[in-house]
Amino acid sequence: MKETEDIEPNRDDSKDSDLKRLKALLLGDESEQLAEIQEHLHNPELQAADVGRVLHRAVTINQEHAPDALRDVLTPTVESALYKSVRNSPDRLGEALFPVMAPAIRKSIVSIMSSMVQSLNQMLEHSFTLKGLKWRLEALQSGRSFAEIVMLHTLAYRVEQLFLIHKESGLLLQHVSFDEAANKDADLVSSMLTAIQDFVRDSFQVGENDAIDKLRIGSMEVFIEAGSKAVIAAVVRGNAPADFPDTLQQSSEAIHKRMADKLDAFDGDTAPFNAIRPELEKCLLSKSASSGSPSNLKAVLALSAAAIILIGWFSWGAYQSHRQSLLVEALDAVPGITVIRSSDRNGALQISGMRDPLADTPQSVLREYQFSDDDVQMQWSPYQSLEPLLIIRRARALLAPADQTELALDGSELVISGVATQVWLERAKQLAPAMAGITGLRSDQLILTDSPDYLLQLARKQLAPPATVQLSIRGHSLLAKGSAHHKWILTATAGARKIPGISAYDDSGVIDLDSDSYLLSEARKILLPPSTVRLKVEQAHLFASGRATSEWIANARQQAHEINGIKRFDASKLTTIITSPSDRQLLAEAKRRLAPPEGVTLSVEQRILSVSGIAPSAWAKKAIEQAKSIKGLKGYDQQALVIAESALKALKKRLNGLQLKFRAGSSQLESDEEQKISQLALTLNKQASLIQMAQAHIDITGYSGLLTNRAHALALSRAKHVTTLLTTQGVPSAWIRTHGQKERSSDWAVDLDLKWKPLP
Amino acid sequence: MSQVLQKKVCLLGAFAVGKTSLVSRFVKGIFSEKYLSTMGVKIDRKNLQIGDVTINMMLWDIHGEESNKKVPAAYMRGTAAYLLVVDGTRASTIAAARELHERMRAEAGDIPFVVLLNKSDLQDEWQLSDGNMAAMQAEGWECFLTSACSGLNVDLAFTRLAEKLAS
Repeated sequence: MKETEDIEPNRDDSKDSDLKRLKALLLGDESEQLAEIQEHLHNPELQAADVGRVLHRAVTINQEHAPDALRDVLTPTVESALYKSVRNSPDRLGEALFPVMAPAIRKSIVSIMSSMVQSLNQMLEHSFTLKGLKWRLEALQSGRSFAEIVMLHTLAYRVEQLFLIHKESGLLLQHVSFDEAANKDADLVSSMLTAIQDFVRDSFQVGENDAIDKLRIGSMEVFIEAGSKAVIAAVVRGNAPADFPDTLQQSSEAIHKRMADKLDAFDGDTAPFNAIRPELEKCLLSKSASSGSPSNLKAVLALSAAAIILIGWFSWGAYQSHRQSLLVEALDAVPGITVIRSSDRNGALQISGMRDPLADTPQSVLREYQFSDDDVQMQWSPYQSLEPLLIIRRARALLAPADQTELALDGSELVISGVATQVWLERAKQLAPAMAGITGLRSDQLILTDSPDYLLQLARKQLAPPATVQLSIRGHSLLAKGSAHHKWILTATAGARKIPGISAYDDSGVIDLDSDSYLLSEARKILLPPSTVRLKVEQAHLFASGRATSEWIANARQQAHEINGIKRFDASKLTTIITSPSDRQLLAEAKRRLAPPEGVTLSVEQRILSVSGIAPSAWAKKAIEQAKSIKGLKGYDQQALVIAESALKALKKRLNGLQLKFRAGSSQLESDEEQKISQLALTLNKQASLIQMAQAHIDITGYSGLLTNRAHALALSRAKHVTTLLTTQGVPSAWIRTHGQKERSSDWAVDLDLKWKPLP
Repeated sequence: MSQVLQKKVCLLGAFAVGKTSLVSRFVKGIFSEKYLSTMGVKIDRKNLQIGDVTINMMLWDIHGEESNKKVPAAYMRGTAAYLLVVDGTRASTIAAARELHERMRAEAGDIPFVVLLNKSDLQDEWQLSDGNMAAMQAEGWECFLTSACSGLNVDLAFTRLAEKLAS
């Protein structure tokens, strides 16, 4: 009941709760889920968590189906977010971007700085040179800035070679050059360049990615642009433009982009890289310097003319004062002249000082320096100079030496050399110490003209005596001794008088080689006359009288002409003593004239010459003739002489009779014939001395009688065969002469004959 | 069609083993030897024809290693092959070669190489024992007895290296 009551007052409430209960009964758990969903729908926290769970997948799916949609949607939001973020807190984004930006910024700044420095350098370099002045003038004329003009003139360059190098190995990938001849060793250069890079990096301990980016060698520069895989090296002559490294960098990037995989896989094959040659060739830039315009020539000429006039004005004045100072110096340098003061008064030079009266006149110096007397006014006070030249002059004036006497100064000592007289020297010795600047005197090299040695030397020179004359000096006299020709004696007498210092000449000790008494004694000595002969000399004529043998007279005639100084020999007053020769003298004379050969004996008895022995007939005939001409010989007997030829007649006869027979047509002897030859050889050897004496020889003539052309040869060979047989048995071959003849009737014989030389 | 391959080839070895003599007699170069003492490297070229392929060796003649002067690693980078030179009259140069070999492997990996036992003309001063030779061969080293003086085997060694590069 109570429950009902409870329901009654709350009718609506109870309705709701009932519904609820019904729902709970009908739906159970689902109602809770609904509640949860309800809550999800209204709770943003939970919604966000749900989206967050699926967002990445949603983006992925979106990217697949509509690739750019999300980007497009997000771009404005992201942009504005970044904008706001940078506005609110720039540091954070800066920090985040720093690793990306810094290297790029650094590189850019370095590049800008270096190009600024380059142009500044050029400006400074050219501002203060002649070229710089010219360029300034050009800038004024053209109305352009100076910097612009400098750039115009200096940007002349040429990229000569480009190397593309594999960074890791240093191998050359590609090489382009404006000059094809430079290609030859590019691979070596490429490797060496890499080695240099490595070396520098290693030596200076810089970072792995730092490298040389420029080398400069004189007017040549090598720009090196190192990429990640390949390096470009550019050889540039002249001044490359400031943006040239940028050009290289762009090329490098383009090459890296295009050849990325080829660079990664490079194994030494460079063929694929031929494709990027055009890219490299684009960097082979060049620009030539433009030549200056000629419009400023006039200005240059005008300026030059003005400059020349100015320079001329100043230099004339300078030249004049230079000339004057040169003159003053030259005057001061003259020995015995001392310049004390010099000044320029109204264009005329005034010089005052001191001058030794013995010094050179200053006028000669004025002429030398082309000054006239009007240009210069001089005032000199006299003084005594102690300069060596002046001391010598003073000494010369005082001592008055001869021409051959020389004066010199050694310190303060007067040295006298040359020749002088004793008197002069004595006077010099007295006067010298009294002269200013001289303390002593030396004369060890002086030759005194009045000393005996000097006089003797002088006399020898002047008189030139022959070797047979000795000269000597006694006091002031000259003595001569020995022998000489008359001519010399006369000239010496005259010459001696002319020698200074010699008062007398004595030549009594000289024998006159041309005097008659001297010639007579010479003739006696040479001709040795016998006591029966008397000699006499009168005016160089030799006379002989008395008796002498004809031999002595003949001998004297010959020898008289050999005596020096004898002009003629007169033997007309000599009579000859005739004496008959003795047998002994006759024999000697006969031996001399007849010249008997060996085997012949001569003898003289009672003035009859007898000849015995063996001789050739030729000698015998000659001997008869010779014997007739021997004076004093009464007769000549040749009965005991045997004539060799007649002795040989028997032998000749035997030889002629001998006929040797040969076999027909052969040089072989018939049997028994050789026996004849042996006997003949024996006989010949026995008569050897006779044959030799008569100068005989054996003629062997062979015959053949053949009609063929072998006939002569056979004849000769027969004769030779006989000769051979004879010589083997001791007959000298020199005795034998062989002949061959063919015309003979008895046709197998050999003839022998003995012949001697025909008589002359 | 013939192919041209450029290869960086290092010439390594202890001080005074004869690297430069090997190079100066058998290759073509334009650089003076003073680069060796200043920069520690001199570059020369040797071309060899292996079949259809022309191997263009850029030879990096690297200054002989001394204790106070190490071969810079940068010179070894990018090497395609190398020659190890040992002085046959100094056994100590084997150890130097071995060290260079290890450094090269660390820098460039497992690349072709040949070993030149140089100065073989100096038989009187020869120091390498059979044991040394066997040890090197056991390590897989391809060795050539060479003489820069007489020219023995030098071309053969270069050709062998080129063949390894071409294959």
